[in-house]
Amino acid sequence: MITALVFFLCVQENPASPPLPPPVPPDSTSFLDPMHGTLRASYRYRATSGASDSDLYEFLTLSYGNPLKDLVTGGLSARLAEDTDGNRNVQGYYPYTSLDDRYRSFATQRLYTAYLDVHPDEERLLLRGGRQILDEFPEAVPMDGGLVRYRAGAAVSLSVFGGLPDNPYEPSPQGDSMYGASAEWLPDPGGRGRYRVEYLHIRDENLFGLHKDNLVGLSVDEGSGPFTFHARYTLLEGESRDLVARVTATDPEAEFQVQVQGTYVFHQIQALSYPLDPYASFMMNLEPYVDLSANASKSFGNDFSIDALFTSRQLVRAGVETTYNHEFKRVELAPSLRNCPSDGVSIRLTWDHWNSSATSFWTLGGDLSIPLHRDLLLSAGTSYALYSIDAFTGEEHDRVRMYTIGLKWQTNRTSSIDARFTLEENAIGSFRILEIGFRHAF
Amino acid sequence: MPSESIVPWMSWRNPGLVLVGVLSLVGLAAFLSSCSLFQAVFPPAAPTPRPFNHEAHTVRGIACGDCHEGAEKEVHAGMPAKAFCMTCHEELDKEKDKPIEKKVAWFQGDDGEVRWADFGKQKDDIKFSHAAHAGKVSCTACHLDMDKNTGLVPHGPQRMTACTACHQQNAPTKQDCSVCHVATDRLKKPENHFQLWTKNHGPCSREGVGVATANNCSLCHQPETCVTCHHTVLPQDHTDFWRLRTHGLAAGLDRSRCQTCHTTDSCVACHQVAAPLSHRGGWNAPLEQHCRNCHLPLQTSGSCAVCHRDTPGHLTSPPKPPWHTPQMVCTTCHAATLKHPDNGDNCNSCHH
Repeated sequence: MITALVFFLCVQENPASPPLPPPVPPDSTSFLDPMHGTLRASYRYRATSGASDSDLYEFLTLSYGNPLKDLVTGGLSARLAEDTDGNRNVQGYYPYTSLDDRYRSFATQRLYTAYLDVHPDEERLLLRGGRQILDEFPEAVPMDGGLVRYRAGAAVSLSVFGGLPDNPYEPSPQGDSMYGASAEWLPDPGGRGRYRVEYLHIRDENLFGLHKDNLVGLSVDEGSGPFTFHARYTLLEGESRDLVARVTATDPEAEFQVQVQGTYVFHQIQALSYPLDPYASFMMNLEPYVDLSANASKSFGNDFSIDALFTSRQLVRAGVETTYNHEFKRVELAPSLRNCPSDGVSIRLTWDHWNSSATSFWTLGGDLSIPLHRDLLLSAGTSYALYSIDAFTGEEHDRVRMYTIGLKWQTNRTSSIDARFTLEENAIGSFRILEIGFRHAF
Repeated sequence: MPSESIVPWMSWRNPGLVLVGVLSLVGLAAFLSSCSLFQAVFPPAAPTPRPFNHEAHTVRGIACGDCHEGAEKEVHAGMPAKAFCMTCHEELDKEKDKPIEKKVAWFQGDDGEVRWADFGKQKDDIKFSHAAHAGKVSCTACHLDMDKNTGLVPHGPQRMTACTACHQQNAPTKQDCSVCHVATDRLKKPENHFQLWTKNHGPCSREGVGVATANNCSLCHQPETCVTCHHTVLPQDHTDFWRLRTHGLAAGLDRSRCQTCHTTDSCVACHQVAAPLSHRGGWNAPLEQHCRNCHLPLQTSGSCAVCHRDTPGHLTSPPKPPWHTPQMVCTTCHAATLKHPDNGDNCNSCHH
């Protein structure tokens, strides 16, 4: 892979080599093209004292057709990974163990989505089959199956679906199934209102037993003037699960946006099917909580902006704080400076602080991007993190310092090459990462 | 047994506190609304424009271009001046029983000039020429049913999907963003994509195109981009230290944040093949005292029990004989027979 990339770099830089193809017209990557997508290939080398790891990754995303005019369209996204140094079967502790080590092959593949859409009645009817992600539900659920969506006029749309939940780390889908439906109403098709009701049933037989979950979601979106409002209420097995309400106020003239969100989890959430909650079986029950957060973004002219975020979470019941159920407060600030001191240069700082009774940690980071040339971007960054862990054996302070430097070369309008080196010094040791990648959009 | 009592600050269920809270918010709102900074950020709404009955005019044979004189030859269609209206209404408005809503005076401002509702105004980023579209599409193709509109609830401005659908069929060479937008470009990030956009884009994309055209990520991004990005671009705090040690802490704080990307059973899958950082060489050796590292205070959830589910629970440890008291030093008698790699200080933790 390195050889190929070096060869490619040489080819790009060698004046004797054939000239680059002419720039592709601007709309060549348009969604109107019959076939388009991106391909990314990268090599990653990681090393620390006494251990190293080399991997290759290839990502492909593909979209076929234009849903506005073609009868058949489709989408695909997939990943290939190759463990080039065979370290996947190291006995005992190995700092670079990964999920891919579950498989006995040096190469692993992951098919995220692969579906075909049929539009027999232009935009009114959609038939989708294959691996897809139902991302309009309260939980994004990957599914192997079929979906039918029908738009009854401009205001109403109905969907039904069914298939198998995609659990990539289970050896067999035996005992798994899912189905559901949703209805959506736009009270004013030209307006900002949207009302949805969703039902999802999942049957999941996994390591921890058989789960049969029924989730109902109700959501409202409305907008008036600078305000948009979103609320979502879900019921699990007929009981209230959670309520999320969010108000966003945006004033483009003042370049100001503020968003306030509240979340209420009504009852203790115990182990569910993986697609609804992959954590409770591992991190135990989720205790009910109230979460209030606010974030604001304000720009001062074109070149300076600041973002702020505040979150506070409280458990509804006292005395139930456990390893995986904490009350906490979080504050984040991120000022950004662009085109300073010269055009194209950008500087961003981030400060993030989490505080709970058992632990607190904060990170401070800075990134700098400098265009060295019209098509060559240099970026560098550093960050510092301090983890103060009041573990059961006493106070512990762990520090992480990270430095990174990278280059991105836009070889033409649709392709780029990037390289990045990261050095991390932490309480465990010194870690180094080198990543070289190539991306092509077509 | 955990207490069921309510956390103090949650006592918002107390009606008195609710009242104080509501009054405080009202007071804060009143204070802010009088603040010049607030008014600069949220300027007071303009007077409500008075709706115009288009149908009453079109049924009388008046064409769009008769009143909107620039509709076929200029960028802006333009709005009629009062003098133009009065060419007909000079006499019509003299009728005694004519409702004020049907008179030109209804639309007059304090200065005597007419105040038209500008329902179709586009943002500054939009460049649209009426002249360029004249003769190719009818007015009502964009201004939906405006000829039948009685002015009560005019249709909102036409959505971008209508523009792109028409351009696709009738103007295939004019598909790029710059055809209609001044600043927007497919290869240039919108202004709101800077700063904390990586944290805030989720709700925006989920609200969907129905709420705002700007929520249509697929205008620039492929539908599959979400998946690829969520599986390849790590959050800034996902360092090696995070991977090996502190991600559990963060998951304990806010597991919903993890679920943004880790939507499948990756917790279990990974921990089945990866031992925790603490389980290095020497772990579990005699006198290594690894139990104490995680078990004190004892807990039935989290930590060791996450993986070691089959380990006998310490809470089921056999009790001490009844005549043992907590003050007794266990090792005085049991030093030679102690089963555990422990000095006996904390035997009482398990053996009650």
